[in-house]
Amino acid sequence: MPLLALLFAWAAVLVTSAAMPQPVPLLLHRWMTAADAHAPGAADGQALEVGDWSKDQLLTILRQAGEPPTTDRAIARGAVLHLDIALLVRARESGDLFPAYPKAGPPPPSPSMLVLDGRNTGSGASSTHLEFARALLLKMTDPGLQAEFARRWYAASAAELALRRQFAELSVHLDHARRLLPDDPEVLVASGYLHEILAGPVAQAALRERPSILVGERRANLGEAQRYFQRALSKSPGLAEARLRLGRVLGLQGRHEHALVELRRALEDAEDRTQSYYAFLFLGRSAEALGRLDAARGDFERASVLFPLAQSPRLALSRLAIEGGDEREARRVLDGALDTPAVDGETSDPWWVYDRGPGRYADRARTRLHRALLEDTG
Amino acid sequence: MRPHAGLPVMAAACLLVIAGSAPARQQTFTSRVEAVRLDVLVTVNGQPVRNLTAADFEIRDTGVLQQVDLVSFEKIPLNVVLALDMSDSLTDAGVTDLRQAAHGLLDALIPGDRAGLITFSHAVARRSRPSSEVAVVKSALEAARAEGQTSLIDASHAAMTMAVSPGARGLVVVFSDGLDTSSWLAPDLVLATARRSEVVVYGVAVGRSGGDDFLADLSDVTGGRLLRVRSTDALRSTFLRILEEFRHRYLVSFTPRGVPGAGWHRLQVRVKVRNARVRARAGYTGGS
Repeated sequence: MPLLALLFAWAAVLVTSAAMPQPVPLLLHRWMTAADAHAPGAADGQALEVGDWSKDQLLTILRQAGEPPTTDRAIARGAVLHLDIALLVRARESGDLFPAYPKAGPPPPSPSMLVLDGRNTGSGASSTHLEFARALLLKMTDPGLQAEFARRWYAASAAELALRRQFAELSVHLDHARRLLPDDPEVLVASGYLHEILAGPVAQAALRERPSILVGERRANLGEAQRYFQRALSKSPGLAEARLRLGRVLGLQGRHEHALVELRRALEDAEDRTQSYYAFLFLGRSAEALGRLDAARGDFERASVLFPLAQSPRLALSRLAIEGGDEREARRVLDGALDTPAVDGETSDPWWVYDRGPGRYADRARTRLHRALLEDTG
Repeated sequence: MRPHAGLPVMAAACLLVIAGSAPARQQTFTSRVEAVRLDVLVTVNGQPVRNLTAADFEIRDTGVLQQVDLVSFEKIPLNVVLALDMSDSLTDAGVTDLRQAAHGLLDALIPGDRAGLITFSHAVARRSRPSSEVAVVKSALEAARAEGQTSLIDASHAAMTMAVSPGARGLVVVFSDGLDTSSWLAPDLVLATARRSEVVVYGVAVGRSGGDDFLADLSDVTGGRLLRVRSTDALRSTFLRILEEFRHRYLVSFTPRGVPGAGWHRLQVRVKVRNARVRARAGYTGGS
């Protein structure tokens, strides 16, 4: 009798639970609550709490996140929460969370390139929380909403990674971005920017030091950068940042006549004083390479007018003066430039922050993302 | 021929008088021929060789043997410019070592010598113009703090420009512990400028920093040397060694004869000393 009663009681429980709505699993409930309460852009209590969760817990959430009652809105808020954890709470942590990505295939190998002032400071394993957030985005069910939100999320996150010079992470990040948003001009510009960086002296020195790292040769990277910028411009011809960088890359490839064409157009499309400054600098460099020294001098002088404290155009002018045999003029031009106190790069010489790429617009991208969270998914 | 206007300090005028076909007047063409000056280091087994005379040197300009004059270098003061990397990668201990090294070199200067100071991170800052007041330079060095990226190439250009001084021998000591990350000037352009300069550059690199390639090339084209140290605590002895070595260099000159004027002139410098190693700039650029 006791055994029979127990069986009946168990059967009754099964029948009852099948008839009732499924309760939200406790962990998923906690996660959704935290994501909802999280203040975007803040290392708040929610970010600290979820930031402490184990990889097993995150994997559990990911398995459950694609099903009701999880909504696209909750996923979007979660993606922002984990971006903030990755950038603000667990910035130094990295690790391989997932053996494979749902729908997206295995993550690509990460180029090992974390640098401080030109020194290779470590390898670039991917951040757990960024991996989690990227995988979350794939769980969104509305394709339109997914594309719109992912566009802003990737723009903001790529800008932050560029600003922090986390190029290894950025490489993995953009690879995923291109799978989800293959024709997005901002993703394409960021991808071109990354190859522009990888073609630069820091990455190439790291490659010489450790030939096994996945950086690629300078020439190949310049070619990739050129193709990405051209693809971005085919989607959005007025994108001054893409044209500016394309012009510079063409110059680095020695194709100065082509560079001049792109840079003059970039000057016309420039959105701000900084882009105009870059265009004049690069125009000057290409004109100099072509032996048009008067034109180069004019371009560097115009750059100097835009940013009177900037050292770069004055260094270029002083070198041109020596080229012309005028040591005295070279010293005169340098005189003012070298006495300029080394103030913040943004206000003094934008060349010093050119390699931040999309990171120069990180604030704007972050604001757009947070606004999207409130408007599109709210 | 006319070497680049910024180069020589010595000049000899040569007047060519050519009889013209017009009987009424003579056509006169003046060609100014200027001397080329070279700082030359001669060593045997790493030790400077002393007491050489002009007769011990053989200089070929673009393959053509030249007549060598020797300048008494003891009488010519030095114009030393220190270009010191003060970027993020330099540790606190490194900054202390660097300051002590610079102080050591400044203390070893003699009356008549001048010194200037440039520090660089992403920005190139002239802390002190060339001055015979060593205390001023030392004081300026104390104010510098390590921060930012590395504009090694820009700083090298600025230092070479600063080190040019009529009546003095220009020496630039460039210290860097890292790779150039933020210069605007391209290395090949600065090396092209360096080829025109009489200034001698000594590079000092810590470990195997990425900036080695540029510093090695720059030292090479100016006739200087790149010295690598294992750690910054060796900087003081290295700086002193550079100064000592520079004082034992020969300043030789010649007035180019039998060579074309414009363009790059490759120089070959030899001495009549067994097993000697000679360092001098690889050439100079002649004017039009």
